[in-house]
Amino acid sequence: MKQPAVRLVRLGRVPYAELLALQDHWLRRLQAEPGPQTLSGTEAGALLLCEPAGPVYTAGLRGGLTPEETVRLRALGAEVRATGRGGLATFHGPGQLLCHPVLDLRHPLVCLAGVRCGKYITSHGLALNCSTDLTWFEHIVPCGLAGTGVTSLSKELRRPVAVDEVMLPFLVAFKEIYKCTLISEDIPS
Amino acid sequence: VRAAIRTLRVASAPAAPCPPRPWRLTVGVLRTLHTGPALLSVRKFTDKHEWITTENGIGTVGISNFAQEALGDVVYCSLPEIGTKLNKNDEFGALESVKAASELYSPLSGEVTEINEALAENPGLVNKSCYEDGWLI
Repeated sequence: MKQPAVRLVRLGRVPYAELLALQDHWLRRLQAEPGPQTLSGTEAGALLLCEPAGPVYTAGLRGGLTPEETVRLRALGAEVRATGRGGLATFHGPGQLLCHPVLDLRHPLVCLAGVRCGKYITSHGLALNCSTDLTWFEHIVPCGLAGTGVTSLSKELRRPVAVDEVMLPFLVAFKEIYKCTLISEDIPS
Repeated sequence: VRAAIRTLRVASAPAAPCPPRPWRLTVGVLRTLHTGPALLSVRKFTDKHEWITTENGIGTVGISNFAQEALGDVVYCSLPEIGTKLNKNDEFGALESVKAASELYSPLSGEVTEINEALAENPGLVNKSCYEDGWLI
């Protein structure tokens, strides 16, 4: 059986707002499609990858940041945004590989518990700290888990690990686990 | 919150007329006899695993047992404000579970008149009693 194809969209280093706008575009596109059983060779979705250009704190569906915290974090020079994902507060910034799979769960070989799901389409995703400045996390209780530390690949391996170095192994692992092929889409710089 | 339904399509007429129910006199009480589809509170399901029952033009919406099992433990219910007007298939809220935040879609058009306040303190009711105490709107 042919593997479902997922469109690989590499944004490079972009503002978080740009990632959200593109995620919204893909969400609307996939939610409008009838589903895999009616079209052959339909894409199962898109894998949006970027490195946030600047520091941004986000809250989830339940919240996770008080108005006072929001003021304090903005004073540090960071953006603060609300999102519809599960989970509480977290941080995104330079040195982090941010991956948002926007996937149609009706495709039989793509099984992913998305962080938000509407009309069978997932949104939001995962953030992998490669060389993120971890001191940004000290200003919040990450994911509402008090007493839990945050780490990065650079910290664990005790050498600088940049997002670029992580990209290929990450994509290989994604293809293996979700049993799909990735088709590259060129993004004009 | 129970949705007041403008278009009552859920309780469609049964294929055959209802047989009259047997009735009996209890001390001091006269039991009256009713027939017809108005009393039927049939639970109908959408393809997105929400259910709806209606009674006298008021509909109650929740999620199915299949949905609550797939979601896992619900930790938060995001529900609309009373008075919100919904069209069929409009997103009206979301349930956050340990796995994901999942959107909720209105099975019918109508106006939200009540939300299940118990879910604010006890969102797990959606898992424990999805057809009874875990109703949503």
